[in-house]
Amino acid sequence: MTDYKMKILVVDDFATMRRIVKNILRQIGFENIEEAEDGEQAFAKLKTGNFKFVVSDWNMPNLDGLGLLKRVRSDEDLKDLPILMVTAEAEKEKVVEAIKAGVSSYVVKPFTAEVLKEKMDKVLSKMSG
Amino acid sequence: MPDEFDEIISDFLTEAEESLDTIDPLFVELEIRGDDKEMLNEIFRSMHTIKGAAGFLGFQPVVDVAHSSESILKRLRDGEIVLSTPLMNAILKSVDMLRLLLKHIKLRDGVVEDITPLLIELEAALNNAKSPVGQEREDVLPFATVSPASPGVKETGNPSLTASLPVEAAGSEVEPVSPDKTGQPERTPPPVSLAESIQTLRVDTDKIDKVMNLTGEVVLIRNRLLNLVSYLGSAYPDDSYVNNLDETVSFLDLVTSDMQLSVMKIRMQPIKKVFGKFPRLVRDIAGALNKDVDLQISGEETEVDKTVIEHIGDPLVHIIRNAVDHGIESKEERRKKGKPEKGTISINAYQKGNKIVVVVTDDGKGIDVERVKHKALEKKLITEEEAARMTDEAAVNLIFLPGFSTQDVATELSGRGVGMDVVKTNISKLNGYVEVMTTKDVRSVFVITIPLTLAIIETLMVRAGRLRYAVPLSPVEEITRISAKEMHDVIGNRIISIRDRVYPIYNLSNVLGDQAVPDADCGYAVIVSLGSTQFCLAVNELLGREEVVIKNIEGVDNNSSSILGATITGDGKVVLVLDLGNISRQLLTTSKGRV
Repeated sequence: MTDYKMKILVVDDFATMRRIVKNILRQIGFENIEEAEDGEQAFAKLKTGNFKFVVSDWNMPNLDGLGLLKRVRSDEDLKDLPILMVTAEAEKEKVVEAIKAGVSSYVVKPFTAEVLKEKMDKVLSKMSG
Repeated sequence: MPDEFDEIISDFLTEAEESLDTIDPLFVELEIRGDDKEMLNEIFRSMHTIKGAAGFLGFQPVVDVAHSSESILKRLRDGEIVLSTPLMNAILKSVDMLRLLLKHIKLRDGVVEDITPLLIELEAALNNAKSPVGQEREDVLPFATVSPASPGVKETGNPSLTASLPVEAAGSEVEPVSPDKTGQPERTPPPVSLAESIQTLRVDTDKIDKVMNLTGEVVLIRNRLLNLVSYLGSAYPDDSYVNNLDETVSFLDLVTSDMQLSVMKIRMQPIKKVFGKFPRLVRDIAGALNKDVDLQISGEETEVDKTVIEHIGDPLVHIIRNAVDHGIESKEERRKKGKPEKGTISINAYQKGNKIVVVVTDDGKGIDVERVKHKALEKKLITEEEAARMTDEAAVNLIFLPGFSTQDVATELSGRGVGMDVVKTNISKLNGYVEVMTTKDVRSVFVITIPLTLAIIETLMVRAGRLRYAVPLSPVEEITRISAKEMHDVIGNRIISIRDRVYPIYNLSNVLGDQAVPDADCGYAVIVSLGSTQFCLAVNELLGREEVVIKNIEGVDNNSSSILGATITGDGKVVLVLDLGNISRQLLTTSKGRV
């Protein structure tokens, strides 16, 4: 059973993208969504916030998505946190790097609510299973 | 939810435009500094982000254009190709195209731009791009065979790795792979404090303007209350209720001032938003004219009101365009004059007291004062006598007079006159003042002075004849008591000497059309300082200071009138607010109001 009350962090430097992703998450049924503008801000929030899921962009200033992923995976408290990366088609080759660094799943822009829901469900069922 | 969607689109447009605005100056800097990976990455990121969001919103042409230039940027950033002028021009063109596409989306005009020629140009620029010297790539494909579908796909350089991971099946699920701890050195991330994360909120400007207007109303009501309380205080000095009321209103007074300041700060933005356009502007014009121009910008962090951001762009573009086009001489001409081939234009902004000053200087040929005078005579804007008496400083500012600029002036004065009255009009809208100083073959300096706040201004209430007027306080240098005996006539000009300084003095009633008020009744002089111009206005009485909210008067032509608008004072009377900029220009150029 997916917990629609779980706290999700959306990380993207572009406010419109955060809003779009938030909107899609709401369409799926999630309500408890917070935002961060880059990896640094996201990490600070994750450390204090009891988040259960992260949807992060790749290209961001300060700390990018991969940097955030690596930092989360090497953090004792956060290492098991599911992280879903949002990538553009042209970056497929980078996915290799993300997989090596322990990304839970990734989704290619633009995506629909169904696609995102499917990906999240898979990640979450693997977690509980 | 159509509303939500509209809002997202409007957010997207604003944010995408902002991103494009930051790209332009970066490019110009790139051209000067050569490859800078950090900058390239920033530009790449902006393009990439615009592409991503546009994809969600279904703006396919935006996606296509952003994708093509992103591919070029990516390879530049990764050092696979080197920056060249054709590449730069192609990318700048795509920035322009993106702006155009965004504009169509904003206007919902349904216009479809043909982006194919641009996409072909981008592709050709990419195909012709050179690899960095010394490390020729073997896989550079001949022009005709590069597939447009896969521009910029980077070689991973490790075929076995590519093959062993399910990269090709990008659309399907990826098996989670355990984190590669060996490749990742153990390190404790630096402590990040939560305080560093800035909380911002995007608010519709209409809502802020509403708050601003309401604050203005509160200020007016407070003024009335202060007035009533001071009356009550003198009528019933011993009444405890009146004393309590006095205390309460004083408190309201303080809070209102704080509120005003806070609302004002919401609307303040760094002037960088406007200056950001200029490197590109100068680059493009200078390039087209084969001139070499160095643009120096300083003070871009200076914060100004949102209205200033909106209105100061056009006049500055005008001044800068003219400076590059007609101020800075051609390379040969500069060499002959013994100047460096490269011309310099500098823009500087700073805050001076409660004013914002923007100075644009070019080291070009200056403005031909005699020709300006000649033209003004021809246009009957001044008389022969005035022309003869006029100082060079006054004469050169004739270019701001309405009716001065025409197309034939444009050619005769090498365009220096074009639209300068538009510059003035725009700056007047901000209650600002513009003037120009010029030295032949050395420089022209445009100085724009704008009050810090617009909606609520401090004024000096005066009486001239039977009427009360509000004089904006920011250009008022000082006020002093005078007597008619101190005024003297010098070649048709009335002057007054105040502490060994000589000022021209004008009877305010006469200036405003009431000739019946004699100078002998004027007991006070208001010394006004606008740019480098100083003069005195003689008034009958000083009534005090008051913060006022200016309301526009329907049907008054703000360009030529001496009136900025009207306001309601503390005692509930309607009073006209004077436009000192316009008055000053009238006085400089005509004999109207001369006492």
